[in-house]
Amino acid sequence: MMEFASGMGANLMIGIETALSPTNLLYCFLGVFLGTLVGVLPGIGALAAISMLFPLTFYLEPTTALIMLAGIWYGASYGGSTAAILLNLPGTPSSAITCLDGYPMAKNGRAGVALMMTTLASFFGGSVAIAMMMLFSPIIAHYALQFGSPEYFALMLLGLVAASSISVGSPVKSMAAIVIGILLGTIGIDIYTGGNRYTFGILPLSDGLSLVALAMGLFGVAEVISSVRTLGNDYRPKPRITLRSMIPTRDDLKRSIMPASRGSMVGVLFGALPGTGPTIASFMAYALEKRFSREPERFGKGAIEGVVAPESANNAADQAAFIPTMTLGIPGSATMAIMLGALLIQGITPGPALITQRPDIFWGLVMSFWIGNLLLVIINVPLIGIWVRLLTIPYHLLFPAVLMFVCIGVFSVNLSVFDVWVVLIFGAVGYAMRIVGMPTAPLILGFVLGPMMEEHFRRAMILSRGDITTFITGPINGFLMSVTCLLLFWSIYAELRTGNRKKIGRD
Amino acid sequence: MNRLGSADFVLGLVLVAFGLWVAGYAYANYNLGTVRNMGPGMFPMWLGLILAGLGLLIFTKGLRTSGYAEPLDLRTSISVLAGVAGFALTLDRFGLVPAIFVLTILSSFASNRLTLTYALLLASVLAAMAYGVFGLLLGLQVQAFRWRP
Repeated sequence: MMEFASGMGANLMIGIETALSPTNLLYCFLGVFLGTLVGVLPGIGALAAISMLFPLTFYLEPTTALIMLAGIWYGASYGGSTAAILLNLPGTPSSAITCLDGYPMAKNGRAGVALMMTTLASFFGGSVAIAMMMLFSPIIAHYALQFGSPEYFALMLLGLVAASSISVGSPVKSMAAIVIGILLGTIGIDIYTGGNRYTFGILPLSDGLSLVALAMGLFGVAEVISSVRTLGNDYRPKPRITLRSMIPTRDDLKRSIMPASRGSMVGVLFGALPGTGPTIASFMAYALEKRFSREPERFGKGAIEGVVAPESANNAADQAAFIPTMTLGIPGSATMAIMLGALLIQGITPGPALITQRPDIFWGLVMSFWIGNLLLVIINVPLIGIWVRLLTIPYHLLFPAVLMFVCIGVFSVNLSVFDVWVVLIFGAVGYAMRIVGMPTAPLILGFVLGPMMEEHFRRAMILSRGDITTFITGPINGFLMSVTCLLLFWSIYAELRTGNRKKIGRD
Repeated sequence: MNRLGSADFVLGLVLVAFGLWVAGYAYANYNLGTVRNMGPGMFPMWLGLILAGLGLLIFTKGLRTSGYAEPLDLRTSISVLAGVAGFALTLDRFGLVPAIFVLTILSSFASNRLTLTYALLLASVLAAMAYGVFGLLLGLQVQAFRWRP
């Protein structure tokens, strides 16, 4: 126990040292600021925001890049709530639930309080998640170090299957999207044999498709195409928020403690699991609060609990999503896949070894979460006026700007016009996927995980000399595989019986 | 276009065709190797078959259902995609600033409210922003104007 405490102390020192370096502080601030800015703007979700700002991180050190990306991530999540409360328009999918009680609060003249409580609830939720991450990550990594290739393959397979079964949208279509993503990942030179796969003589393809181009096309361009019609013709009212109107009453605070706590727990759970994320966490937290409330009729009319619970849940989930990504190297959502991709591009492989080999990256990141969440609170109180003004920018002026950032951004990565064409093609593909109801997020998951899965599969086969049962032998594998099969059969069965579930989430 | 046929029907067919093509291509062109010593073709081939299988499931579902998840907005999609294509074609030949103008003007057709004058204005602002952010701040090596048709 003492050893654990002193070990943790050393880790914290490394982390704080790294997180407080001027560069990292600056980019943390920049990330949170830019993230909130983009998150506030409707029509641009957190995923599109990360895709757009992703190329900026290439110029940075791995730790700094990750800190900035993370800042963008939870910043954008937070920014989305602002639009949800003020305009009944969620800026990000995870803020959709906040509309339910946030907008009525705004109509009752309590917008300022709603925004303030959102900030505080998010900070609370994030803190709980970070504490969990600090406590459990070393333990998880310690056990995971005993994993071999068969275990990794089984774990990744489970992650992918879980991602398609548990998240919203048709499970079978999600699985198809994942497979397509994996196939897209095979394009390029095969590391084992040195031959080209599916490149058709096109030279730029030998390096494979660019993750940035893929993400920008699927999430940036496709989202713009979908949004122009719906958002392009809106009129925006101009709400006015003063600093004084933001102060909550004692009653508000008293009513918020338990929902925030429950929300945080829900958030950590759904954030860490693959396939689920802030959106489902916020829905669940809201449903839970309503079910266990002594006055359920208050919900939907401006109950502070209905804002605090989902907001702490979604921020907790945002942070907790990093746990499997950093400790196991297995991203549970498209955003985490992009984070993983960012690290891989920088030459760093997240996983159990990361904590021991590069503690500065891991603990620096964890500590930066604290700082980032704190910055969220500090920045957003005075800047609320700016965000409100931003909301009045009409979308028809915004979307060309988004397209421009996407085009230049993706070009700047490799100075390659080919990548812009990739964006074009996948913009079309992404839009087509939306039309037929195929979720796009799993495709990115498959794309990032696919090559790793193939490598582990091949290695496992070499080690076991072609014995497929290596994936079922051993307690870990047996467990993982059985859960995988269960999920598979359950989701195929469920799909064939009922219809598709309507909403398509993009965590 | 919106009410014709079923999304799943079309999607299923496309996936089956695509999956079979991927698998067939791998089988015909790449060394499959053995399970013990897998060649480049093994993984893609099986993935292609799995995809075709999933496509079949979706297709059978499509025989019973109808409708699409989202309506096809031809004008918006073509405008936006044309804008990006225009950017790609213009960037190398005429430089960044013309490329931004082409992008903005072509994609402006997606929105009723973005008229030509506003589009030109917006393009100028965006070009200035691009120069500031990407040129000065990040030091991106792209020429603002060029002549290489």
